[in-house]
Amino acid sequence: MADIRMCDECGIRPAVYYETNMINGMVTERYLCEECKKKHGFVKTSVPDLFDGFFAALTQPFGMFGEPARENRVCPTCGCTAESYTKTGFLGCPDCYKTFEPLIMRSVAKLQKDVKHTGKTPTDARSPEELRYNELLKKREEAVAVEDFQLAAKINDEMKKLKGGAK
Amino acid sequence: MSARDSGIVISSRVRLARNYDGFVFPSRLDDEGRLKVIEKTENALKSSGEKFGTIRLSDMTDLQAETLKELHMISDDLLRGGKNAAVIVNKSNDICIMVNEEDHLREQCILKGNRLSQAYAKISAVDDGIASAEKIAFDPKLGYLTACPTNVGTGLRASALMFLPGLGMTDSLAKCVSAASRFDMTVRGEYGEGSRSGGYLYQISNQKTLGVSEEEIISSVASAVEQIEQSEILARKALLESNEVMLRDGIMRAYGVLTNAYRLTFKEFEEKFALVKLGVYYGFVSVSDKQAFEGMLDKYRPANMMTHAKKIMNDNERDLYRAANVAAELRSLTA
Repeated sequence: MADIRMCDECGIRPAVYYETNMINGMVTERYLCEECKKKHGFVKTSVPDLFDGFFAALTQPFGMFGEPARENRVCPTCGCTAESYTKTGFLGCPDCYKTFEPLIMRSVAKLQKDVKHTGKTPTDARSPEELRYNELLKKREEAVAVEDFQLAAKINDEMKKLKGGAK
Repeated sequence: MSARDSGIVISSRVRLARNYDGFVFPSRLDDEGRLKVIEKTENALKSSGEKFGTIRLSDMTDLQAETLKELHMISDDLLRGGKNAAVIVNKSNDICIMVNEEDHLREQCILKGNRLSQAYAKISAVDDGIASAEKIAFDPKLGYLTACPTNVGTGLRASALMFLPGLGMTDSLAKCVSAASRFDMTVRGEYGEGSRSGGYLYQISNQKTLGVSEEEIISSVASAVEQIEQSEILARKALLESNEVMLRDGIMRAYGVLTNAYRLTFKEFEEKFALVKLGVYYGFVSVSDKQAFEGMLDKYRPANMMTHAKKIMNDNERDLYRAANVAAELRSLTA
């Protein structure tokens, strides 16, 4: 699994915010968790114009628009930042869609000219019996793996009932 | 000659982009996670009626990789994915699933000719099988979640590989591209964005993946393909009417080169083969086995040719081998 970026302040909680500051002409970056964000959160730069321009430029390449991002969220699951998304156009994990929802919805609306899925769904393929059957299949494998054959036989009987003795 | 057997639509491809729920996308996934994704997919496919085989990139020779790439079965992105990427194919090679490319799964079905609906039906059945065994990343509003939002929604890209010498030679392709873009379709070179199409090969595909159903996408690409096919037939008619002597001379000279050259690069082969294929359409050249003739284009691509010949050759050796074998095969097919 990908490494999760931890908070730069406490080092114990996953970072959920990312911020950039201009200090003495140097751009510094900081990853913060929810708690530390409240305590040590965003410090406004002394050169706001330059800072605004910096982020405004970052939000443009993929046709995104809107106000310059003053704080850059970090996906708690994969560590992807809004900045890396705007630079590359790629997200890090399915949860990024929730983390960066407003940003993504703007680009989706522009790219796809639509915001609502109307096609098939993964559950189209699954009946409740199939779902239960697959669950039992996994449980049977687990039982066999730990050599609990009594449990495996019991699960097998239930599977037979579900599939009419097919498997 | 009817549009159906005109050979204008070379192949139809439908691909579905899918990701497993609870896993970060491949670009952020470590080796352990990538291996799990491959295993999950292999297990999910076990319950399908078909037999699949996995080729991991780590076990793949450069020649194998290049051979599959030439046949559009794998992509550069997959090759960049490193050792823990894989391709899973069925026995007839028309279903191939790239694992750990940009998304966890790029499920594709490639069929010869104009058969987008059949290609979708086939890959959709495989997709249902995987979804019944594993939880797929899906959002009720946005549909299938993909690494790049350009694929979100259905995750479906339907494309047809078309042979368009008529539109290419009459400079009508630009019009065709702009008409296609008005219907959210793109026309690109054979190997994607910016690739050259010396053999007049173009890919027509949908751009939009969200807000339209899979059936709507397939039907809109199919109707764009049909319209381009009709335009191509008209362009070929116009080409013949404008200067048959010049056209026939060009085609027969190309045939002459292919059946007599001592050295033949793939670029030259591709260009001359396109002309001879056009000659077959007009009836200037007759071939005994159309399928074998059409198959020559892929057979003499550099990597496919070496795989077929079972030997590694340098550029010069390849060009000599190609010239000798193309000449012999074409002579026998047109005898």
